Amino acid sequence: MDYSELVRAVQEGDERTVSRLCSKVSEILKKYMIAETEASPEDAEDAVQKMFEYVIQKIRNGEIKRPKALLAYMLKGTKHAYYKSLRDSDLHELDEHQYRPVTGPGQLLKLIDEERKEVLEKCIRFLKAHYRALAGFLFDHPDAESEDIAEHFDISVNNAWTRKHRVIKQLRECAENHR
Amino acid sequence: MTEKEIIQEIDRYIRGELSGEEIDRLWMEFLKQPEYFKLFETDLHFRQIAKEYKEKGENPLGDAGSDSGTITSRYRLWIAAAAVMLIVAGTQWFLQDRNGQLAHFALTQIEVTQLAGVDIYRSSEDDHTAVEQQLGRALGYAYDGNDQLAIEAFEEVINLNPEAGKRMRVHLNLGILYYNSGEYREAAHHFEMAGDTEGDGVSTHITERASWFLGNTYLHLEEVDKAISKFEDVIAVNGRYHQQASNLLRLIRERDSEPAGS
Repeated sequence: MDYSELVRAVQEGDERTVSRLCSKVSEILKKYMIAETEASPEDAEDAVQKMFEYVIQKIRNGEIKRPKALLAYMLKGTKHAYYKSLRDSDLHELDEHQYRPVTGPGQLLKLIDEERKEVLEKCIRFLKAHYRALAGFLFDHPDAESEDIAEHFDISVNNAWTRKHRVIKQLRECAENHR
Repeated sequence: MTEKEIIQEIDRYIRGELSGEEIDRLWMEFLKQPEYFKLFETDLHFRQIAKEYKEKGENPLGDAGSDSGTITSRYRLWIAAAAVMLIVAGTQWFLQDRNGQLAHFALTQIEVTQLAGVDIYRSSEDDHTAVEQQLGRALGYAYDGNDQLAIEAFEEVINLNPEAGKRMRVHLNLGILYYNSGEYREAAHHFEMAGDTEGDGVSTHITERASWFLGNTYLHLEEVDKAISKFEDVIAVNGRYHQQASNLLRLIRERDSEPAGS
């Protein structure tokens, strides 16, 4: 995604383009907040909105020019906006959140969407034959590492990565077609 | 980060193995390239589905799973699958617009004779044994029609970090194999890599070929502006594909000048 376009659009007052580009990244930023903090979907949305208000002003003031800097601002700024809103409401909660350990596997379960799961379950059955064997193996061994896949199929570890990557890509494309 | 590194980081992230800094770096990659975020989501959901089936002692794809359902539930599964396919096919038929016709202009398949073959063996400063053995293996699979094995073998060559001339030819061949498998996104990636390669051994003929195939790939992906740009590049070179690119460009422009719905 070309963030220099966002910088240009803000500087030129092209609100339509700004709105379009911000919408594109908002979903990812909300998921980041849900996965990496205790934010609810509503809190996450609120924090993202506040971040954009802050960042867009920074761009207008010429304080953010490079797209790479913009990405860092977006991530940190969203977290900052969330913690600021907590601080404004409950200091005790803020302390707990600031010292929360980094994400464990359980935290990411908050990103699971039941509807998406249903679509993927259907898509799994449409996998091409070559990928079904690997997917079948992963159903029996959900935590298998690439080394395990390589050993089972008698292929190199690199090939194991490649095959698994292609299974996931096939599933993603199928899920996109079923939206 | 390379694509491979991102995929590996996604795996580590889902396993809970990344530090806070690594997590933020990965999410920045997701912001830069939302496609990777979609892959992460798909991987996460797939693993959750797999874990749930494992807990139930079922496998929808393996022998262990085949006896888990009653005849009634299997019948319902086929009905559901057929319904989904009908809905998808019907939706595509009703929603087919002008862009859906673009793929008709593109090459259906790329002949295996277009693979960069014999000239790939020209001497270089590479490790002749590892790279050239793997190349030979990959080409053998490709000429025998074992496309999946050929793809894996060529990707192993990339991992061996060959010199530029070999690398561009391998990317060309991967593009061709993915194109013929209908995986146009992957094909586009490899044709782009072939065209962008710089260094010793780089061939303008291969660059032209990659541009021609890339233009056709963009037609399949319905990215008409990118396709036109590539065909114009091919025409400018005035090489082997000049006439074909000119003809195709004329057809696309004639189609664009027709009123919508005709």
